[in-house]
Amino acid sequence: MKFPDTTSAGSPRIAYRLSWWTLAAASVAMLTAVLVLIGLEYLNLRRAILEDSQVEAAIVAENVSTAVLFADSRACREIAQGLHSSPSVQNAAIFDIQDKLLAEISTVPTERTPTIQPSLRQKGSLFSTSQLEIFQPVRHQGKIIGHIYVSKSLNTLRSRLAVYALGALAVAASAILLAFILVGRIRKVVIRAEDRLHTLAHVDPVTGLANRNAFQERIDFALLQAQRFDERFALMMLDLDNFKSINDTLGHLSGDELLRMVAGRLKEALRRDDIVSRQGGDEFAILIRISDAEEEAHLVADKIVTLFATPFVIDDQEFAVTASIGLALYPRDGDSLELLLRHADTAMYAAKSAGKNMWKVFLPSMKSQVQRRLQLANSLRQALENHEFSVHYQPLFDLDSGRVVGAEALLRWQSPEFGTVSPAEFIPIAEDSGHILALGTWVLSCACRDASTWNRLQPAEKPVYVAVNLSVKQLRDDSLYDKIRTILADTALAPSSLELELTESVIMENVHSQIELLRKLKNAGIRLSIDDFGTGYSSMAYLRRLPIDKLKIDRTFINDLPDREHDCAIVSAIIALGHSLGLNVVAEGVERIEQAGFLLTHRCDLIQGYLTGRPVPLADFLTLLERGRALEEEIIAAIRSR
Amino acid sequence: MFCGAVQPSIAEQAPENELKTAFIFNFIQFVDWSSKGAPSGAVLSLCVTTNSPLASALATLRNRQVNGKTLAVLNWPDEPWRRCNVIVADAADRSRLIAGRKHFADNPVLIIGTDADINREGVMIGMELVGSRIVFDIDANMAQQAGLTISSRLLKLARRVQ
Repeated sequence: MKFPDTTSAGSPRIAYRLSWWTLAAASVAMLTAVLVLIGLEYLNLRRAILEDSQVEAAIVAENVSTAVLFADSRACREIAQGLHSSPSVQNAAIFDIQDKLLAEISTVPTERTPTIQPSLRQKGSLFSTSQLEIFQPVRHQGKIIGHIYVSKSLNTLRSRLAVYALGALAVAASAILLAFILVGRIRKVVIRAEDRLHTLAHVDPVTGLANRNAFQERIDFALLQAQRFDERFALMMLDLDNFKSINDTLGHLSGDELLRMVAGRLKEALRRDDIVSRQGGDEFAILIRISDAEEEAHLVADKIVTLFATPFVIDDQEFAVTASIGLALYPRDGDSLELLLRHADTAMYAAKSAGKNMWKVFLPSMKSQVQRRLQLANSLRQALENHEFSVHYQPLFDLDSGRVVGAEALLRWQSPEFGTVSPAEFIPIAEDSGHILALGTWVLSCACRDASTWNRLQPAEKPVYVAVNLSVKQLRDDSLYDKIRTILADTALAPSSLELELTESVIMENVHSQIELLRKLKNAGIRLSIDDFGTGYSSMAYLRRLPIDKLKIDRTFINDLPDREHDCAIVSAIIALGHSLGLNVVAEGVERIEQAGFLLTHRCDLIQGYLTGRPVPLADFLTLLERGRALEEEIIAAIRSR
Repeated sequence: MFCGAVQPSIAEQAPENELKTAFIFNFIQFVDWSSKGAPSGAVLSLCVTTNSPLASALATLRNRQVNGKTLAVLNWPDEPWRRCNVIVADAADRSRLIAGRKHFADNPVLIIGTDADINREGVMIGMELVGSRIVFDIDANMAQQAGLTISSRLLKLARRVQ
């Protein structure tokens, strides 16, 4: 399957052909005009020579009349000699009334005595191809007493006409040449403009890839080809996962640079036949020719995802950018452009919802997921005002002391429409729609107020801190620091009782600007921890420089403890790493005694999970704190007994 | 335009006398009597002796129109001098011409000689046959003294002009 290259001129240049036709038409018109002018000039010259000759003949006739009257041939000849001054006169003759020749002069070597044709006699003048003949009466006192005959060569007229014709042709040729040059210039400008319009219409100015228009044209063509030859292809929609943050923090120029780099990697990785286009924003569409096996498309998708494993370097800064890809296959997932695009889009959103940095093939069930996502986004708008959110707290145990030392604030959404909605589902929606800022602030103030409440009941020397997750959007909010200070002041919570949890990717997104904010927060006495540690791309160099207090080992490493050796090795290594950097290490997702035993053995500082307590509402958490040591000791004993 | 020509044509192969008559008729057309005592009335009188060889030819000119005047042919010298506007003379008229010269001085009379002999006696226009051609001389001074104006166009055709 070949795709038409719409970026170069495939269609005939209308302006080009038009200009040639215009030029040809102009030439014909000019030539016609020249011919008409020559014709007119011929008539003018003819009339002029006729008038001149008639005047000459009349003058001679007047002068010769007396001589004719007296039949004085000598005098007649003398007078007729005057015609010699006119260079074109060939013959002149004077006749009396009886047509007897009185005198004759001839400038051309002797010719017979001119015969007067009847038509000449009648008209008085006669043009032939080579000469003009004049036959005029000689009068005396009003009476005709003879005739004068003059024949003139038309050579002068011909040479004058030739000069005129040459001149006119030269002028016309110059005009056409000038027109040709001008038309050529105009044509060049038009062609350039056409090219530019064509480029503007078909090429994305930022990346140089095909734009949406061009891509649709090509897909239309691909669809025709595929239908005719029973071929298959895959349509991929690719969306960068964290492009907006880069665009917002570094500015559009760097954002464009990133898009160019992504485009470059995509073009390099794909075959020449494949079509890469930018649909707008950070969205790319890719058309891939495949043979029968669907796996071929999966391989390409895998390849594209790994293209994003290497961070992008912009202005000497590294950026971890990932992409989510949705695949739709022709003909299985749709047989029209619209359907394929929509389904690839749906699959792409599914990939985003499933955690980003991955690809998904379209499944019919995704359509309902997309629908649900849209509905959730709609409900989310009102949810905060309708008090559908609540904060639950999951205790954090100190393995050393066996005490609850903190709690992670976890947001719960109880929707009257959808029931309990998981944060994993609605947080990304809130992030996309921007509701996350208001929600985050609400969670922060709620958590701080609750922590303040329980700390009032706690012994002053044993405060229990609250850990709150921060999203990227919140970190990008310039007023975050002030907001936190205000909330702490309003709720009278000690800054040391607030811990902010940030994921690796959130921090790494823009380390430089984040470090400053983190230092400010740290200086204010607030604790900082890295959430989901081990899943992102943490730079050890930065880890050392970050003003953090804790590492939270991702639950995926904890799940199979202590059975899987790899996980055991990773967890013990993270604990060792954290300790050597002077950081506390937390394990989350601890559900079984064996896991806790392993963590205790490897001197993990804190654990969090169903084993030590599920997330509970404030009232239940207060009860838990109240019951305090009894429960704690029970668990610690169990763990220790292992 | 070729038929019915009223004017005597010189081109005709006319005998000498007819030719001279035609010349005389043409001469009259180029002479102006108006400067001094123009001929009264509408008649221009041409006088010739009855013995003249031209008499019969000149008679044909009678009643012809010249410059708006009717030509009359009179016998000379039967008629008084003063009635003549034109006198056609030849060698035979020599004595009469000399005798009448004093009369001419006061009257504008055009004297036309028709042969070389009479021409030597003083005529205003003198014709002469040279070969087959008739040539003429003009004594413009004499004509002027008589109060006659001879057209320059005629002068141009003259063999000699005094």
